[in-house]
This record gives sequence, structure tokens and C-alpha cells, in this order.
Amino acid sequence: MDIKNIHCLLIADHTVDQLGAILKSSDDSPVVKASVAPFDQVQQILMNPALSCWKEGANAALVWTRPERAIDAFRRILSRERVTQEELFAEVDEFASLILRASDRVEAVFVPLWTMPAWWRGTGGLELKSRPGAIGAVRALMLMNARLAEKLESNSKVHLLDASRWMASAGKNATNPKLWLMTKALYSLEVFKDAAADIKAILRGIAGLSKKLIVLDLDDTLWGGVVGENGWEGVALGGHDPVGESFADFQRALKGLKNTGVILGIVSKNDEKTAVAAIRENPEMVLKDSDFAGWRINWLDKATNIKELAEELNLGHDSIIFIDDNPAERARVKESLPLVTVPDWPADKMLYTQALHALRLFDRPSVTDEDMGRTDMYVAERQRTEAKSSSVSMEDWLASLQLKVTYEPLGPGNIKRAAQLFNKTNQMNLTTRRMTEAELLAWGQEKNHAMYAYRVADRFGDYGLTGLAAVAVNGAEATVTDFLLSCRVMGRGVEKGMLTTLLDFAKKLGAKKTTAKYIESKRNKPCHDYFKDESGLPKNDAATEFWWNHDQDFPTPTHITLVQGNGADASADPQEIKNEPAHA
Amino acid sequence: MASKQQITDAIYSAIDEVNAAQGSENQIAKDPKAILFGQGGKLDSLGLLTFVLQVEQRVQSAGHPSFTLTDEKAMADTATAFRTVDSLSDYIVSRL
Repeated sequence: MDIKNIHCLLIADHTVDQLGAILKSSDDSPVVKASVAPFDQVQQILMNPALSCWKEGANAALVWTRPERAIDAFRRILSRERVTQEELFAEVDEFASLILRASDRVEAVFVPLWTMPAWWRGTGGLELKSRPGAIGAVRALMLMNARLAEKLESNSKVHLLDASRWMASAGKNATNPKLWLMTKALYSLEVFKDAAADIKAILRGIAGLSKKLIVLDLDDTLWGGVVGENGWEGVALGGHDPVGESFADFQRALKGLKNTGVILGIVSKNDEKTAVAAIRENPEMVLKDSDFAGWRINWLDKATNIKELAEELNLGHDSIIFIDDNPAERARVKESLPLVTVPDWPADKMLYTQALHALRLFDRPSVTDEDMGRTDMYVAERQRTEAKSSSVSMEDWLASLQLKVTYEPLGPGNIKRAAQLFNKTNQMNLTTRRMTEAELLAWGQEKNHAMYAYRVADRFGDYGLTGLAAVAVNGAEATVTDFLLSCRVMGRGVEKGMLTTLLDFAKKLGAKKTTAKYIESKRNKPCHDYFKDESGLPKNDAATEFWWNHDQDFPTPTHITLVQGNGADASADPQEIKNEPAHA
Repeated sequence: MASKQQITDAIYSAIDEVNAAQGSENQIAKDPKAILFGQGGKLDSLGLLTFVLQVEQRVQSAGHPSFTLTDEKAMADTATAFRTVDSLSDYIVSRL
């Protein structure tokens, strides 16, 4: 999805013009062009792609309905008519199918969950009960939302939004009966602001712009007090003390983010030995040293330390957020590293967890197994680096890794991660195409096309799905359309293994020559350098085209075991087709 | 009873709120002379009603729970009462 060109069609049965204005004008990125579909014609618009509102170039849609309007069974429940759960679910299923149908027309659909105005309480506790033929309205609403979520969850383009949180956040000002009666606007500007912020957070996530690394200070950030002065026994953390408990809560929230793939790092002005001992020995620490991908604990400038840590972890500054209680340190990092996000941080330590949750910087469309184990990969990487420093030569080091590269077609077991990688990888990326999951699957299934996902593992651990490459064969000519690899595994010969699989496919289909054309982007110079200097492919004078003539075999590295997997189910054991050295 | 300055502050607070949906070219200034309604005004009909209800809520919260700016009298006085921030402040004070 092109983050700079988002046009969202707002489809609603209440006035949402002001949401459109906020999406266009609010300060946080991306700017979203919004157009409002004809009022209160939700079903017709979802059903009919020929309507003019779909022809204005929208690549996203918001479908925001009132439960009693979208689901007639719910209106009847509010009128105390007898409605069974089956009738209710049948209507919800039908509504979900309309949303799914409309999702074919855009790249993202946002669906706020159904809510009732805060002032509505019906008959109190009875609204949570059910008896044969009658369901309480609040209970029905919960069932409807759960059913809707269940029916929509298989479609990765559909993003549900928690509207009840917006309502709670706006409090009694969330809805105003007079506003509804006079303008048919159901929600206040406060609700719309929250909705716009959530939509933008998801859009940033879809575009791969969510933050990947949280760099944390230690004293008065992860625990209360100065460990160098008080020892770890003397800092405020956990226990039966509101400040200590708040730091433990903050660490729990950070650990939760880490478990969804956000990387944690430490940059602290401290004595390293003392600080690491505090992390390892304080039983109240929720975060352990294995939760941190790396750290710089010393007395040097924090901006320099963050820069070094980013290089070590191979992350761009724009994917980093720095959290520090000290305003002077924050100002220094803000000034020196303008791409690093440095949020204002509350002076009141008991508000840290709330401040973290308010950031909206970590939204992603899905979480993969690779995401969940990302920190483990960095810890393993540290061990690899240690092995590298003790190896005599590069060749010895590569051989010592015992690299295994599994290639597989795209399928249900790998498409989420593949799409994520395809749309996020910038450095080792030949053409920087961007496609949705559905588009990737469709492209790979076309005749004479091959699109492979690559899993890489070595003796230290599993990197997971880290590469994607594609080739299209047209008679005697074949073209490498995509070639991308996570920076985590660059420079280990995996690239040549990938080329081998593409060239094998092209040759089998009768190609005499396979060409790879480099398309320059702002960040893909490493890919150009690889093709130019290391791929072993002949090139034109401008070094923008690289090719292989299939009258000779492509020399592949001997230190890799290349294995073919099936891709239909990520958990399936791949079938090893060649033992080492594969394709040699 | 709320002073005119308190009422003006409530109006400014409501301006902050509605400006979020106004776009950079249609921002309303927090100035007694800022035009709210009529020629030169930057609020459309939806924006004006939203603004009026925001002001109404703020005055109610300031100790006048039964105050309304959306009754027939207020609607009839729109052209003069809602012309500027200053005229609206005077109008609200006169009705408290």
C-alpha cells in the first residue's frame, strides 16, 4: 500500500464528514484523503461496485454502522421483540459477507465494532441475560461483535477497530443526543480524533512503518532510583509500593510488546557491571537480560550509543523510539538523531504504562512466529558474531554456520510473513515492488511464474522466513521480477542460493537467458552492490542489468544446504532434495 | 454567574476542539473579533452546530446545567448572536 497516496472512502449510516476532515488534516502521518459515500446507504454501497463512490480512486474504506441500523434483528431486540441467536447471527453473517465482498475493491477496510451510546442502559442487568427467544441487548451486542470478528478474521485486508475504547476515552462527551438529532452525527469530535489516530496507526503498520526497537534508559525509567548509588536492592521495583509497582507494570507492558516482535534495547549512563547485575539478580525484574537484543551501558553520549546500537541491530533510525525520564537526554537525542522518535515522557512515574500504551507506534496487521521470536534471533546473532571473531577466515566462518536454506512456494502457511517481508524490505530489494497478500498469491500462481519464500537456519538458530524472490519466464527469456532478503541474513551466501532456485526454474521451463534489472530506490544500494560485486552475474556497463546464460550451470556456494519445502503449511517438514553441497 | 472572560475562554476551548476538523486553511482564530457565522465565517452548517453544542456543553459544565444555545430563541438570534466570538460571549452572558 502506497502510504503517500491513501484515499479512504467513508461508508456510514451516521454523519462522518468531520472524521474525513480530521483524517486529512491531523498532524500525524499519513495524510489520508477521505471522501464520504452517500449517507445511510451502507448495504447498497457494499453490494454494488458500480456505484460512483467506488470510482473516485479509493484504496481504503471505512464501514461504520449503528448496530440497530445494520442488523435489523438487533433493532427488534431493542424493541423487546423475540429474536433467536440464530436469526441474529444470520444477519451478522450476511453483513460480514458484504464487507468481504467490498474488500476486493480496496487494499484495506476498517470496521469499527458496534457500540451503543454511553447514556443508553436499557433495563440494566437484564440486558446481559438471555432466555429462549429473547436476548438482552448488551449481550446481543457482545455476541454480534464476536461473530463479526470471527467472520472477518480470515481476510487480512479487514481491520476491526475497538470503537468502545474511543467512547470510554471521550467519556460523557462521546455522544450527544442533540448532535444526533440536529446533524445525524452520532459521535463527537473527540471520538473522531481517536478513530482517525487508530486508523492512521494501522495504516503505518500496513506500510511497515511501525517502530521496531524501543531503546530504554535504566535509572528512573525501568526502575525507580539510581542503581549505582543504591544498589539493586535499593531501587524501587515491584513490592508493595505504588511507585515500585508502577515500574513492574511498565516492564510487563514492555515485555508484552517484546513478545509481539518489538525489540528492546538499553542505552544508559551507568557502570555496565552494576547495571547488568541489577537486571540479572533483582528478583523483581520482569524483564530479563535475554529480553534485550543489545545494550550500551557506559558513560558516553546517549545519541552516539543509540547510533551504534542501531548499527549493531541493523535497524534504521526511523524504526527506533527512545524512552528516558531525563528531559535533557531526550532533547540531546532529538537534536542529534532527528529520525529517532523521542516521546515526551511523564514526570509522574505512575503514568509510564499509560504513556507507553498511548503511543500508537507499534500497530501491525498481524504477528508472525518470526515476530514473536525476534529477540531470540538477535541473541543468537550475538553468539554468531562471537564465532566470527574466533574463526580464521570468512570461508571458515561461513562453513562453521552450517547454513540451511529452505525454499517453498507461497501458501496459507507463509503468506502473512511473506507479504510483511515483501512490503517492508528496503535494502536488499531489487525492484521494491509492493503487493498485498492476495496479489502475491495470484502472481505466484500464474503460468510460468515462480515466487519462492526462503527460510534460513544455521547452527545457532532459525532466522525464519527471511527471503522472497520471483521469476517470470516468457519463452527463451526469463526475468527476475523480485529479489529481496532480510538484512539479518545478508552477506552469508544465501543470495546465491536464492539465485540458484530462480535460475533452475527458468532453465527447466526452457529459458536460454535470465535477466535481473535493478530499479534504484532511496535505500536499496546494498542490493545493487551485491549484484554488481558479488553475484557473479555478467552485467551491462551501467550495472543496471545482470543476466545468466543457461548454456552453463550457475556456480552456487558450497557452504549452504538448499532444501525444497511445500509452503502449504509452515509447520510441515520440508523435503530435503539435496544434501550438501546443494546445487553445487 | 460566569464572567464574560470565563465565557470567552469556554468559546476558545470549543474553537480548539472544532479546529481539529477545520483543515489548515479554515482555522478559526481565538480572537474576540473572529467571525463565526455569516459572511467571512469558516464554519459550515455541520461545523457551526458542532461548535454551538461544544460551547453549550462547556457553559453547562461551568455551573449552568440548564443553559441551552439550541432553543428556538437562540436559533432565531443566530445571525447577530453568533456573528463573532465577542457577540456570542455577550449573548451567552445575557442569557445566564
